[in-house]
Amino acid sequence: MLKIAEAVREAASRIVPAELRGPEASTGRTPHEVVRTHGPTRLLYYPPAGERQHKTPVLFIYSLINKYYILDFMPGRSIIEHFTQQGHACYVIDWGVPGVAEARKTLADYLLTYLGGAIKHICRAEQVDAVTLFGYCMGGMMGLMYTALRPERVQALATLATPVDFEVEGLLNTWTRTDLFNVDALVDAYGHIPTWLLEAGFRMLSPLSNLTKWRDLWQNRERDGFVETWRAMETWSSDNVPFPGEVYRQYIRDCYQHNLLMKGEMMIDGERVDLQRITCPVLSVLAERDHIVPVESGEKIVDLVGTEDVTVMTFKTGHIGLSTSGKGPTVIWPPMSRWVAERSA
Amino acid sequence: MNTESNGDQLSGAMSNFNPFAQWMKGINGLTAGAQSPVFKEWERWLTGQMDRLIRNELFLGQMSKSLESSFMLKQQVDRWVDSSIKAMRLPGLKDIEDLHGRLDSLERRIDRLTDAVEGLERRVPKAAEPAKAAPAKKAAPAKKAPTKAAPAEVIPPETVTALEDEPAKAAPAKRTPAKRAPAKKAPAKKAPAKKAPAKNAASDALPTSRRAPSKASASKTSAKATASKAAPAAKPAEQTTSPTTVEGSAAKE
Repeated sequence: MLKIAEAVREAASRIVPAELRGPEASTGRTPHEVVRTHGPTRLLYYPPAGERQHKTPVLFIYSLINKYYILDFMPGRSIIEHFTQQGHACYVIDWGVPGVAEARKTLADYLLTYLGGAIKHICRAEQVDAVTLFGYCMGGMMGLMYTALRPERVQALATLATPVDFEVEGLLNTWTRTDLFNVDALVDAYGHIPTWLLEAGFRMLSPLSNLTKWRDLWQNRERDGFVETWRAMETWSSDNVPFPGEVYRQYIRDCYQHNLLMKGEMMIDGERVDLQRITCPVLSVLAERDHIVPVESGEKIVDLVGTEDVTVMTFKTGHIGLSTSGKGPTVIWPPMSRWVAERSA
Repeated sequence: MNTESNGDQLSGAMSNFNPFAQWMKGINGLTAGAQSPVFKEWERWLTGQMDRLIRNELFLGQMSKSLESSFMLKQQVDRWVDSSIKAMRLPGLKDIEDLHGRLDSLERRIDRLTDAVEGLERRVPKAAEPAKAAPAKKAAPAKKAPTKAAPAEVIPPETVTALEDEPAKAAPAKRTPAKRAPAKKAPAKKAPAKKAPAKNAASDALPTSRRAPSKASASKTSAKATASKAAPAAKPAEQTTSPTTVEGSAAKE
């Protein structure tokens, strides 16, 4: 009987080919340390790989939807690793997983308390007056809002795949229309937005790719490093966190449904978010094949901010490709890190 | 005896049977088919149909209705659960949220107090200096101890969060360079052993008000710099696209 069981197990193990078994996904490997915690958030410090070459530290802000480690995807494919190799001192704010304590936390709390506190901590520790903010997707919007509210704390602002104008035709804009989407009912029912709902929404943006990705995996299984990257991407994309409810309510209502950020009428804790107050250099990096943030939406930043030093870069990649593409270290990230370096104190 | 020989035969047959090879054969056949023009055309058609469906007003309307009714149902269930918890005299979610709210307001108050104390220390730098010398000595060994335990040597760990400045209060303190300069020295004293001395020197060289004196002229010069820098910066991006870079700066100029 034992022999039969062994034979069955051996045969079963052969069903999954060695190529697909591959090594474990190695995400978030750039050396770092946690230098501050507050509520669910953590501030991570990534020291420069060699000699430090730029005084102004760079703070990366990721969206509240997925986890921050997409910015430190894999060794050799990590935007943070690239920046540290260029001699930048980098920080990342990890928003953590919101719990009961965050039930009433608003966008103002996230911007002024969590993000503002982290920036203040960095300024104190690094003995600088301001930091460079580098926001990705919704993190870019948070960077924009924070810079508009506290311009004196920001040396330069870079946004990656960040929408600004929500009236530009896009699937997410259609789905969140006031007549189709009752955001209050959702937040009142669930509090924090459950991960299954967010995941379902993002999967619906590109329904067929949920099937074709398996075909791609099969067809490319022998390509060097493909399976590892594929697995890392799967790990990250299914590692969602609940979206803080009150933040979601304001974000959807003010940005997607009423486009208040673009109109300069958005209010954070009683203060108007006026993008004209942004006088530091601004960089907007956009992806041509972005199915979440249309290029036209991100480009509007040029007309909205109060600085003349605005640079827009577009790359032939997708929304996530900006931070995980194989072309990143050679094509996409070098101009970004140069831009940041040139505007460092 | 008989059972054992049957087992041997079966295990022999199992080890010769390679289900993976069979599976591979099937999948290879399928994926080979997936590369055919017919399959690609079908995939394109299906993508188009899916795209039309997820934009279709009728479909979206129905989705919206069903989602909303599911939200209402969830709320109703929550209300039942909450009332039964209350009947058992147990704290409900709302009570816990209230408690957190109170803790938050306390934390905010402490932060404001901490900020106010820091502000006071900045305002009376000289008077506080001799007084500071004594606690600084006391603070130094106190800080060295945790650095051994915790790896956060680069930045002293903080348990109490610094709340964002209250704009009305913070603004005058920041705009006065005379007041800011000693403020910078204060943290330098706090962690002299942890920071490289080069950093301190650099921070001294850093202008206290970077943009205050001539905002417009500074931004314009940097804008010109961008225009000139945009070209080399965009070069690697040429493999993709970069016209917008130039357009972006040009539009502003």
